[in-house]
Amino acid sequence: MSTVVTIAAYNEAENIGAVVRGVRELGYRCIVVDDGSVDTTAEIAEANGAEIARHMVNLGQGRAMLTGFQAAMIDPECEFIIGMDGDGQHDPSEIPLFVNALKASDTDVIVGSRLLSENVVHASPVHRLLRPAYNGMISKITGYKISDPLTGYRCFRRRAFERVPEMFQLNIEPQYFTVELFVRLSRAGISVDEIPVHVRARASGTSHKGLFQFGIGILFATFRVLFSSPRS
Amino acid sequence: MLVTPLTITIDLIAIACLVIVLRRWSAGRMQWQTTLLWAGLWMAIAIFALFPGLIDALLPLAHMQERLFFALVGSVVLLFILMFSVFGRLDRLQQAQSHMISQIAIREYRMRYGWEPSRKSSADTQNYLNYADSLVWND
Repeated sequence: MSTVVTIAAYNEAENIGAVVRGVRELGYRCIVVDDGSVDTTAEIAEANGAEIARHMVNLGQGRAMLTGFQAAMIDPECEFIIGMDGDGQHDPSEIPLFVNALKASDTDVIVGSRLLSENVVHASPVHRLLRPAYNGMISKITGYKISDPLTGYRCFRRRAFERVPEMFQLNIEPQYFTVELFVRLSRAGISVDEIPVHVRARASGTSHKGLFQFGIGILFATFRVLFSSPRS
Repeated sequence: MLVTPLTITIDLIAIACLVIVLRRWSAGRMQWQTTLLWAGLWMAIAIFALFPGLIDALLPLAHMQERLFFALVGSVVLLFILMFSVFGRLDRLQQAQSHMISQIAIREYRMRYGWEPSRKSSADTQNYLNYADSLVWND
């Protein structure tokens, strides 16, 4: 029974090395999905001890995360799959908190909530305005009482993915897959809980997500998954 | 039949395009559905250019009086249908491309780090790995 950490990274050469080192120092296997980077993200990650799965072109963070989860599941001993960002905002030293939370309960998914810690100061005013509405919508749709569904820091028990295999075939707008993730998990009766995590400022560079496009995309993805059949 | 320099030019263009469509189809570079669509369109243009009176027969069906207006509306509607079809096809292509790129990445990962399919893998995992193999190697 092992834990595998998956990181989706796109042009994160300046940050990925420290993240991978942090994970490897804890003794976890680390899979970095290089999502079509044009810099040395993959080389740096591998030099620091990560295993690399490489997209030939950029497909978006959601698809890269799904590739990482699938790669992690190849190992039959892998029981816990962590998903985290490659920009250095997530602290690898908090990974054991996720794993211990899953081991101590029968929960299938643990979400790292930025809102349960003192991290809100990092959010932009627009984010702060929209986040409660979005979080409320997700809670209403799924029934999950999670304060921060948009976070990329999560831990899954293997069976969560095995019970929602159609998740891996999601190819339309996979960059907004968070919405689909929770809706499909809830439809499959998978339990989700949360723990507080700390978020650090990016060590360098800027986010590749445009707020407007990301927000609209999430809304469309939400409506689409609501109107889709449960197993499609 | 209306024979003017303009109608002759339009017919020559339509015939040339029809030949191109049929050559592409015979070379196996165009699906029969696409061939049918474009061959039909170019033939219709050629016929309507030579026999514009045929349009008059269609005007009452569309509750229109003007030939030109009918042609314009018909063209715009047709263009929208074609655009809709093209966008749908692009989405499907993008979907297939995303899935294939992801599966190629996983396959390369498996080969690079020595992960062979295990009998202990879940049925779902195994299905995806087999599917990836078929995508990459049985093209």
